Amino acid sequence: MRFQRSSIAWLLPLCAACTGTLGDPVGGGGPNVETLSMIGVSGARRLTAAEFAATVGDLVGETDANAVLLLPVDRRMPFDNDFQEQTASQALVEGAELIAGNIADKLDTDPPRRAKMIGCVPAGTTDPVCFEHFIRTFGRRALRHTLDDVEVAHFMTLQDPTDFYVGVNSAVRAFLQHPEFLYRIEIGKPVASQPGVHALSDTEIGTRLSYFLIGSTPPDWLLDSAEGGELATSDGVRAAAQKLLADDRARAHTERFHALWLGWEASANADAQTSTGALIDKVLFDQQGVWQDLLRSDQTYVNAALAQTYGLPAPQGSGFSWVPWGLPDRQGMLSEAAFLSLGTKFSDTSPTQRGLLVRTRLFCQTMQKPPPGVNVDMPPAGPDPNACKAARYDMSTRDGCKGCHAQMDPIGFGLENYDASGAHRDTQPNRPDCPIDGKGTLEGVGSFSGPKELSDLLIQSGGLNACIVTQLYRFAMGRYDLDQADGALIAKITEGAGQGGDLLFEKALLDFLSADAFRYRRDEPDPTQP
Amino acid sequence: MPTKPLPRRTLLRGMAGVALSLPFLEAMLPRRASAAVAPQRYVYAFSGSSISCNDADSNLVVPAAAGPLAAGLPQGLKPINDLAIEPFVSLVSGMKIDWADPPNTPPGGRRIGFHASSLCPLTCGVRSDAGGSEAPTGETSEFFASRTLSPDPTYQVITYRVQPAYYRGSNGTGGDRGKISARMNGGTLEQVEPTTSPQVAWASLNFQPTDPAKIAKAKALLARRVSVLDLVGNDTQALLGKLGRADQIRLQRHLDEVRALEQRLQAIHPDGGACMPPADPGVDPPIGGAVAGGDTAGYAANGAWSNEELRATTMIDLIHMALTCDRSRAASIMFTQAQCFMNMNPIYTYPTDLHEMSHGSMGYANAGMGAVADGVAWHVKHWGTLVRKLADTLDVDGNKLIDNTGLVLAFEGGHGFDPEQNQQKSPHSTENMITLVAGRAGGLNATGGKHLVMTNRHPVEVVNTVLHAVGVPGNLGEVSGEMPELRA
Repeated sequence: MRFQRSSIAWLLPLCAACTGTLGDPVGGGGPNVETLSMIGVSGARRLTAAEFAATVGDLVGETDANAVLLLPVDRRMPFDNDFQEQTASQALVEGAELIAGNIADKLDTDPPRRAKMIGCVPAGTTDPVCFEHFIRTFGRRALRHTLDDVEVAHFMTLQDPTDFYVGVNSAVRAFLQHPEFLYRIEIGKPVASQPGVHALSDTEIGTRLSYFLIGSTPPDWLLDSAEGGELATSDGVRAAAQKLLADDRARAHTERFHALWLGWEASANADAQTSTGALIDKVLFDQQGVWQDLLRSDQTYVNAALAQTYGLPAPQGSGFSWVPWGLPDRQGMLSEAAFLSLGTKFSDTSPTQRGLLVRTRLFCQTMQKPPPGVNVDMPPAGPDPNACKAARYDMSTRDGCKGCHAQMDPIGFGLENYDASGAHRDTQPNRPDCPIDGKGTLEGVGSFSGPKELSDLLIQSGGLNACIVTQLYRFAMGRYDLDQADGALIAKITEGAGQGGDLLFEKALLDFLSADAFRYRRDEPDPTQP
Repeated sequence: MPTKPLPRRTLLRGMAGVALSLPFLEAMLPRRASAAVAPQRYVYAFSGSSISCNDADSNLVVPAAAGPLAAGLPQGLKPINDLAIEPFVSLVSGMKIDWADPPNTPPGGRRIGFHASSLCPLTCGVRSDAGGSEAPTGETSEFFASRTLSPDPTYQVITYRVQPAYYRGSNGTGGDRGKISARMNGGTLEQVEPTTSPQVAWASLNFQPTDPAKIAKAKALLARRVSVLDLVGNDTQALLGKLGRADQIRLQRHLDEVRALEQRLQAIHPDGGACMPPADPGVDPPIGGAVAGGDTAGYAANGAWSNEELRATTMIDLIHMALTCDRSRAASIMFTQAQCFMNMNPIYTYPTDLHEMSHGSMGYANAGMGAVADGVAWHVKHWGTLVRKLADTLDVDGNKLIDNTGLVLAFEGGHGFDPEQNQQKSPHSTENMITLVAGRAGGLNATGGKHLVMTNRHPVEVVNTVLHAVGVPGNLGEVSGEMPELRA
């Protein structure tokens, strides 16, 4: 059973059906009533191609990005990790088997790297002691928990009687296609008198933390912390999360979260992604600012090519530099090429698509699909197919269209002075007779012109915080469809991390990760039951 | 009936914790085709395109008259002439998939909205899903065929897709628009993810070296791979009992795939005869990024392209050898995704995609038909190459493989009325659909290739005919008709 996709309207009437007093323990030292109302559903999550690549990089030093091309492409929803969209297949199992074999065989050609992975020197062609050491140490890292004796015994069967390293090769193959490697499986411990609710094990908590914050397997120190019981409390989880956030990989992963969320992972060129990634790094990590500062930044990180696109003086040297915008209608992330690369259609920017993007990705609203009979493959023609774009896109008098388009198109029209490369323009492409006035409206908030004014209106609307936290939550849980329990936790995080209408990004992260509900899971509904 | 394979783990258990690379025993192998009787094979191919441009005529794809296929075929079918496969190929035109929105969608019909609505009835013969899903709602023909043609699970049912990514929006797989395969598993219909990596496709066929010096090493590696998979499978099995129902279903499916691979590896036999293992295709071509509709610069820069030319060539070679080496007897290949956004610039220097060509990006009406016909021809060329190879390959019964094979190439759309837009001469139509049929199995093309006009008949009737020709009983989905004319 799937939860219905819906708007985030459920954020408002939260806990209307709750009973009991918040904070009351349910009994037996388990989660209290408030926590119970916020525990999210989880299921077995297959590592995404990106997670797989990062994980084998950490485990065996494999850095060949082509390796993961052998796995099926992950569907973007917009995130690439929605476990409810993942399906096991012949393509997956054969791809994983091939990658595992390739990695194991490459290790055989690189004895120093292999020796580092094994962690001991075999005494001869066979050495059960050294082999067991390898199984226990590598296995712990690969399967993300300390292996018990039964598990170790299984892997010990892979020893080769004539060649120690053949056994290692087999073991690497086995670990890298093992279900507890390929999938992040959460089992936990049942909570008394709460059917379907489980307290996560310490290593399951550590795994959640690690993949959410750095996109890879838990480092050894985190497994140590977990198995030492340090993640059993909110404070312990918070401390571990802070340590992970200090890892450079957290920066890259946060950039990737934004690229998937807003969509420029697929649309923007490398320069544009570097530039906006640097802005995210600077605002959210270096300055530990509020998320809205991404929209307020008066500087941009450019190289000569981007500077030329924006009409800015080229920075000195051949690389990137921070430069002031110094332009009246540019400010922040929405002015940058990564964002402006989004929402194109029919060889140009699409006011509808850009408006749709703002509505669905930044406000988390659900927009209706076009009604039957509308061919979205053909450019809007209007009464005169040769008219300027503004006239052709004018849906204000078209019954059946105007309701939805009024919420989207005026946003896009306010960005029309910026093409998909991020450059400013005064007229429609190849139509000097079609000037662009660049005036837009954010319905119910105000009118604007250009990305600077749109940024100000978005901030002023006050509607961003809940959506930012919602998108973070989806990314963390690997699940797009949300329910009331998810909404309850999102609302609590949103409220707690608010500051004068803005969102303290790091606080939102840490509050979410250290929430008691984070250390629990709820079973998915049985899909075989009506 | 094949010999039931011995469970390999039976031998490995109880060996004091050390697994040996045991040699394969004959009893572990399923029985393969004998020298006297050749197996029958079935291949279904799909093109995510229509056969016309808005307001155009379709005469650059469909010959004007019924009759034998001969020299001088229209541009879209010209590869049939180039490959000299006219004796083995027939064209069926004039067909129709009827439409109505749920709950009035007819059997084998589609909903009115065009895109991807024909994918389900075309591939499984069942009407479009009432809930709007674009995925097949019934078992698709290659799995339907495999239940008869593949005597045991050691025969791989090939499901390849050439176009690896969607190339629009956030890119990714294309979701249901990138799938043409579904199978029944214990009474439950499962969507099947296709293999998109040529390297995985090659590796999964497990061709064995013919060099005697390498055979022993290859066998030892195979034995280790089986042992590893056995461990993985057993651990997955043990894990199932600890999981909730939804995860059990998820992991059970993973386990089924692991066991199936394990069985296929156990069944590997020495290759010989016409079975000539193809070379490792090497690293896959990189997967291209999305390009927005109409972004001619993006297309000119070869976005939305993952070297499908090479991918298609490799996958066709692999299907050919999989059939020749008896690794598989039922296969599907999705050349392009439904509503195909693959770049046509690298192939024909058209800075646009296949879908947009149908809507006039290289010229409206008949001015754009040449480009559309080229797009059709690209599919026919690769499919026809497989036909040519099968016609040139000796089968175990002394005939050619083409004599024991039935092949289909279906197109997503036809040419005619679009009920969604209330327009005539539209590529958003399932009127005047075409399907190509190749092979000589069961009397197919017995008197040579021909063009048959089967007005308003369902394209799955062609599939039924080919299935019956290769010995598969029953009909696909809700479509019961067949076309004996194809076996005349």
